[in-house]
This record gives sequence, structure tokens and C-alpha cells, in this order.
Amino acid sequence: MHKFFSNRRLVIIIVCIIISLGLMTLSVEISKKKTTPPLLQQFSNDVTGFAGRIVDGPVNGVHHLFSNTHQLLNTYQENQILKKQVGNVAAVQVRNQALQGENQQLKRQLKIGNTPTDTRSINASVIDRTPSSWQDQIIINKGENDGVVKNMSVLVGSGLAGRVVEVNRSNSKIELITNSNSSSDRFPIQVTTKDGKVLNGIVTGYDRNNNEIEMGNLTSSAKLKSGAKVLTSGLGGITPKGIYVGKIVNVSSDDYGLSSKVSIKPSADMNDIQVVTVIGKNN
Amino acid sequence: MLRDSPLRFIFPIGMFIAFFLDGAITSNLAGILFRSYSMVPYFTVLWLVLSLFFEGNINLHLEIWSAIVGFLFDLFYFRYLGICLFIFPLIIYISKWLYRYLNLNFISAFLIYFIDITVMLVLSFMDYRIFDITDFSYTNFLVNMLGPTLALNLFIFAILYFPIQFLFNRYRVRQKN
Repeated sequence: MHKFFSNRRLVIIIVCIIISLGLMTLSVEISKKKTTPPLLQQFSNDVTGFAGRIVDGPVNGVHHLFSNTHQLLNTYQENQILKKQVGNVAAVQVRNQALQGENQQLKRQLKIGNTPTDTRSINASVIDRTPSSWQDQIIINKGENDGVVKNMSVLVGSGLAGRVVEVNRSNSKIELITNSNSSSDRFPIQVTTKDGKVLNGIVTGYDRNNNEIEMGNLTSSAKLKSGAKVLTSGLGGITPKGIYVGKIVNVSSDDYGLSSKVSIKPSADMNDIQVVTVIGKNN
Repeated sequence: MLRDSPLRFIFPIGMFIAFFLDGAITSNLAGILFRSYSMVPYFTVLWLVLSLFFEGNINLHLEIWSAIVGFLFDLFYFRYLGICLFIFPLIIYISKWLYRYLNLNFISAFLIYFIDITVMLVLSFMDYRIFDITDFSYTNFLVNMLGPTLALNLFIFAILYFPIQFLFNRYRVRQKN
């Protein structure tokens, strides 16, 4: 009968475990500290991403076909609702333009330079998603060549969805806001209360059961109402200011009853991402 | 011999398709696969294990293939190296070891695949926990991730077992004539 662990095999297995843990440590450290992965990794990711289009293309095509048909069925209902909003949108847009112009003039006069709301954006489409239950990560088809930089924020539709964590030449990886990982950077966000007070906090987690983002580390104990809009605050200097995150649905005290925990319904649908916008600071 | 068999083309092509199908299916069906539970298809593992079962007298060098594919899996999907690079060959090794004691039929293959997927998920999750890349608890992992993922993968296995067996048998036979 063959033994599962012979002496030689035991040595091989131990060596394998050591190499595995070593490689893990190395890649975790590199991904934390460097802005781009090592050249070999970058090169092979580019080649793999390019080759993957042969399979991804048809699969994505079929998906688009289905979702287009589905959207077509909803069109009439949506049209009714949207018609009501159109009049309002035009008014807001005109006002926005006026304010933007005024803002620019004031900035020029004050010689402020770039503020945290100045951004540049890159549109990209999603080519793959990491097949893993505990790592919510998508791969997009734009990279260093198109101006993507590590730590840029990512929008889906109009809402915040994640952050760029690895940049290759022609594709990059994005960690979604739903990812459960305390060692990754948190997003600084803020809410304005009814009486104009600004509350700062950070995204502290994600509740999979209810599809809600949790906001914690609040700077003040002012009362928050559900329905209030949450934006990124731009503090910390990495995320641009003023990206829409979602609406507050529930305010409760946390597990220890010391500070309040705010649940936010994200405006971006994290499970049907086909196109994203990568947003970075303009400097 | 591998040199005379059409499998020398079919196996790498299947490997290629399976590899990208994992990412493409996960990305396109995310709405169904990720809810309070989450399940993920692993076509690559399926293709590797089924190739092992059906390779017969042809040696496909699956240990080397699994290491290469595992390394690509780490690079392209996980971005942390050293997980699948060793887990995929380990799966092949375990399957081979179990395979010696069982007559190959659908039920025994099903059981071996069950063990393979469990080993793969548990080991890779442990790796993630050790390096603190994920915050999920082991209980959460067992209930919401391991269970549904096993169910999905065994379902896919049951559907694809006979077609792939047919594919392999057909091209092995042709090489003998």
C-alpha cells in the first residue's frame, strides 16, 4: 500500500509550503507598497488579459444581449418616470453651469489652484471578475497606457464602487467597496445634516445580507435622518471630494452602544457591473 | 502516446477556455452568484480533474500543467502569488492518490471532486486569513461560501462529466486506429 506521506514527500511538501508562504508575503508587501506590480507580473497580466478577449468577448456579448432585451421590456415604465424628472434636471443643469463658472472665476481670483473636487475621468469596461467568494475584485480593460494610476476611485453609474489596486499596461484590477478587508484603505465619507452640520466618517464594512455599506468613526453625535445623501469627503488626499456614495437607510448604535452605526444603501449596483468610470485627482 | 493523439491540442484549448470562463461567468452572472451567499464556478479545476480521470494511457503531464495554470490564476485573478500555484498540483496529487483505490465511475469521480473542491477552498481561504487579506469568519465561510460553491461546482460536474468523457474517449480511440 502506498503511504501518503513518505519521507521524501514530506520534505517536498514542507518546502512547497515555505515557498508558498514566502511568495504570499512578498506579493502582499509589493501590492501594498509599490504603485505597479513587478515587470514580469505586469507583462504576463497584459498577455493574459489580451488572450482572454477570445473567451470574454462572446460571453459578454451574450450577457449584453440578454440585459438589452430585459431593459427593452422596462423601457415604457422607465420613460414615464423619467419624463417627470426631465424638467427638473434641465433647471439644475443650468444652475450648475452658472455656479461652475462662478466657482472657476473665484478660484482664479484667489489663486487656489486645484481643489479636491477637480477630477479627471477615464471610462473602461469590465473584462473579468476574480472567481473568489472572499475577494470582490474586477478587472477592467484600461491601464497605465490610458492614464490609470493606483488608488484612483471607481464609479459605477453615478455611485462610488471601489478603488484601483493594481495597474498593468493594458488592464487594471479594482477592489470593490463590498470587499471585506480591514487592511485595505477605507473611504472617507461625509453627510450633511438638515441644519447644515457636516459629519465625517469612513466606510467600515459591508453587509452582504442587506446590501448595505456601513459608516463608522463618526466625528460627531448629531442626529442623522434616513434618506440623507452620503458623499466622499476628500479627506486623506487620495479619494476626490464629492463622489456620491448612497443614501442613509438606517441609523443605529454599534455593538458596544458607544458610537452610532450608519447603514447606507449604495447607489451603484455592485453585482451587475459592465462599465465603470475611473476618477482621479487632477494634478 | 501523447504525440500521436489529438488530445495534445484539445487539452490546452480546453484549459484556455476553462481558465477564462471562470472569470467571464463570475463577472457576467454576479447578480445570481453573489447574494447573502456566494458561489463561484471553477471550470479550471473541473477540466484538470476530469482530464486526470480520462487521460487513460496517455500522459498529459498534469502536474506541470496544473502548476502553470495555478500560477497564471494567481497572477491574473488573485494578484497574490503562491496560492493556486501549489493548490492545483496538490489537487491533482490527491485525486491521483484516491483514484488508485477506487474504480472509476461517476459516483467515485463525484466524491473525489467533492474532496478536491473542499481542499482547494479551505486551503485558499486559510491562506487569506493568515495574511489578513480577508475579514470573513470561518463560520461565515463554511455556511455562506463553502456550501453554495460546492453545490454549484458539483452541479456543473454532474452536467459536464459525460460530455467530457465522450470527448476524451472519442479522441483516444481514434489515435489507436
